[in-house]
Amino acid sequence: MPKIKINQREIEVEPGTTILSAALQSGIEIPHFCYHPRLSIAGNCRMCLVELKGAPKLVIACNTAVTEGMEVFTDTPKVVKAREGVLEFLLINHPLDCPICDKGGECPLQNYTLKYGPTQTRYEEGRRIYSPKSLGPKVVLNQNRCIFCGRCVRFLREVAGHEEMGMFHRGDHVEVGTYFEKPLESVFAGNITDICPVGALTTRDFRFKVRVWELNPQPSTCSLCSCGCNLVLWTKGDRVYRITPRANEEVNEAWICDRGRFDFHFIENSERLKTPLIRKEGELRPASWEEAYSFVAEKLSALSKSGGGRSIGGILAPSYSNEEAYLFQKLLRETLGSNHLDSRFGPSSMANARAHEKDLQMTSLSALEGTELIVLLGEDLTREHPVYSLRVRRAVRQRGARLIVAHSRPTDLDSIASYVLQYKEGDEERFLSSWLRALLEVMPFESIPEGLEEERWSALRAWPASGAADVPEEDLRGAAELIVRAPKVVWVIGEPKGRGASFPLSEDRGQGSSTGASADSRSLTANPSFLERAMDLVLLTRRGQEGGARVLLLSEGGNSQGLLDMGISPKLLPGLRQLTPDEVGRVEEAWGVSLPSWEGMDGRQMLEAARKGEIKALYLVGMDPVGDLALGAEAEEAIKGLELLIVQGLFLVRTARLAHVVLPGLSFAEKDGTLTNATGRVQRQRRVISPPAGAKDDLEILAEITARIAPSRPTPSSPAEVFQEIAQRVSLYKGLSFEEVRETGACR
Amino acid sequence: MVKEILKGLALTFQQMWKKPITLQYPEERKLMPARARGRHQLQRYEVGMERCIGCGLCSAVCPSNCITVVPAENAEEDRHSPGERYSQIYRINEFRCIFCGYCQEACPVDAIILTEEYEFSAYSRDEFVYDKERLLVSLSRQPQGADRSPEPIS
Ligand code: SF4
Ligand code: FES
Repeated sequence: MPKIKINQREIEVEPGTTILSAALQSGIEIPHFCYHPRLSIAGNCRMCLVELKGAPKLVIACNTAVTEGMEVFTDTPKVVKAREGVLEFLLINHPLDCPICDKGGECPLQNYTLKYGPTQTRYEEGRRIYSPKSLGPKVVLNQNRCIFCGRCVRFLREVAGHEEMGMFHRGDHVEVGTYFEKPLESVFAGNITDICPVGALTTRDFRFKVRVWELNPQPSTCSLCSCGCNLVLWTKGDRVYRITPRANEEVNEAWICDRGRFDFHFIENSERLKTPLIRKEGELRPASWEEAYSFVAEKLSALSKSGGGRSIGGILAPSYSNEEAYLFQKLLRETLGSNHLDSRFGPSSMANARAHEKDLQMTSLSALEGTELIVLLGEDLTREHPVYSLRVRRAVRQRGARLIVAHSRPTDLDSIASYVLQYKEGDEERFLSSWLRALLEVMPFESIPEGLEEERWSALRAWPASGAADVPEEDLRGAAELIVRAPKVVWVIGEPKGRGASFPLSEDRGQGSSTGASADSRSLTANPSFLERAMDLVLLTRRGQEGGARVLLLSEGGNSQGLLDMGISPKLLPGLRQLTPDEVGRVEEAWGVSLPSWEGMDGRQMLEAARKGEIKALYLVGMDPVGDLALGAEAEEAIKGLELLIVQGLFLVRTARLAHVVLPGLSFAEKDGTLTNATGRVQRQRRVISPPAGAKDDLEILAEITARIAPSRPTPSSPAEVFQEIAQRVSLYKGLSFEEVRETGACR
Repeated sequence: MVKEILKGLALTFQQMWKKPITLQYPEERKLMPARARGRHQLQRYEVGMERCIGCGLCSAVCPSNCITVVPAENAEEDRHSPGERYSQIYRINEFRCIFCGYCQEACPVDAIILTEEYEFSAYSRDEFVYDKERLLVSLSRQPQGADRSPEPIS
């Protein structure tokens, strides 16, 4: 490895490293604008000039690779003068109105000018003034401030893969903007405002709201999808002003999608519930927490005594934390004796448990980097798990992986796919079976894995014969051949988005959503066997024992994996253990509790049972089935017959209006907890602002209700206590502690 | 003993013929020195436009944290100040203020100044929190010709 000296300090770096990144690695500052560690090198700003021993002229540090024995100086009089000159040139056209500009306080140009720049300008002519150009509703461009470093253009082209911006004209007439002045559509557009080194790009959402130095940046984790992006929440007082990404190489690198960035204003919505409501004489009336607790506890224990656990069901939205999920299932299973537990109204699947059992589950995104083939099945990654699509794109564009996309609609990644298998909506089963047949045809006999049990085979045989598949036969075959030939395959499988797969947290979600991702992502019709069948396909293509295949199962909701881990499923116990009488016996013994051993109902079945009067009480947390377009009428009908409907959440949603009790809970910025992302990384969500008076922490509500129904048993109530119990009881979380799940999370 | 008394009285007689420093306030008022620091005032340009651009530097520098600035964006139809930013809310709690004058010093556009006015009295404590309306110099009272018109800021 080459040894170099920067300012007489000796450092050793990988061959091929540039001087700038060597300096950054060892904490030496070289000012720079166009260079960004995650983008390609442009070398156009000339800010990073350094002196090399023996070189006649200064060189740019960002595009000069180190060589053995190189001696670099970053602060000789020559360098100092050159920097001053570069800054003076940049400031010829850059307006000197930092007090007005919204980047002020966090602007590299401002900081470098203060540190290295001239104190005076000698320029007396007029500044270059551009007429305003619109970039659409999300990002505002002020070209007068632009220094034409090209970071925004390179980000959109190289990282996001949405080539929407470009540089036009030359020299002094250079302009930056979108092609044909179209609005920016990329779901990653917000990121360009983070990397722009001047105030040329700002988000409409945040600009001129507050000065950045008044804000308090606090770490947290996004709960909108199961990517689990790391965030910084910028707060002042009890308000979140903006959200930016926090770097985590294992998750989101340094990017987030615009949903995560802009979709948080529901926190400060004035319609948030601030007091419990109880139905009296047919009307929801404000009540005290004491009244609400005793009402719920009394009703629930009366029902569980008279009707048994089978008359009670609970559904928790997949944005809630592991601790909340754990306590929720504890309340339902241990205290009320019910297995009717779910996190959605779609069909539930056991695929996660199976993937886990077979050690197929992908536990780190780095598996994507070294793979030869990625198969996206029923998953529109850029829409549903945007940040993961960046990894896939890089694997394909930069590391030479091939991509197969199978979806019922065109998706964003189609353009870089080797095969696009677009099947008809509702026709998944036929598509899968014809693909399976194609696979079997091209597959050499020996490579069919032994581990595939006989029953699976018969299940496979029972698949419907492929009729007229809408996907061309040669594409099916070609894709199958790719799979069979690739030594390593990663399957990214999306959950079928059935009717009412999950619901927005608040009423204003979806409509105000900047990307509209939640609005029409439910295209696949409910198909209970889709995921299971897809898993069969994966198992079939698994080569040998060394794990040539990996699966990433993605479902909707920020903590969907965590909820399954915690046993929010009619068929799973905490720790992804199948709910069988034997297993229940073992768990009962280990935990010293008694649990129901019958198989529970999933969300849809619960509604159906409620309609028939078999289920008498439903406890919904963060769910609004009546407000759902597809499910609404059916849910309303079912809910009418209930003896007790408890709705916990932030808003008086349509379902809540029909409830017997409404309990106001908290938003993600107001409570502590942990979330588990799709790869099994456990990360902290933090309380960064105080909640509206009157609403209570969801965990506290659940703990209090549990304690009132079963006062003899101790119920942990703080997130740390609950997490401790989880770590003791759930083998997947063994050895983790709440304190240890620090800034960048821990693998379970 | 007598000597001491006479000495004291001499001083008394001396002072008796001097002009008293007591002012018959409020009929008489003291002329404040030119750099006295009293109540704040927000300035305007000749054309009536506010000087304040809502940058918040005054509130950042204020040692007693008594200035609140909430900025907003200027719309072309409803322009408050030159440039993109203006102060939507500008509030000073004169109770907390220690009249150090840092805000005046920090202001990049000479929008906030401390006037000579020192007469603070009111019927309620709330009245000591001055909002923008009371801080802004009224259009009629603003000094003629003293202020430049805003420069175009690109
Ligand atoms: S807008 Fe910002 S990021 Fe884009 S070229 Fe100009 S200065 Fe660079
Ligand atoms: S950072 Fe090296 S030229 Fe811009």
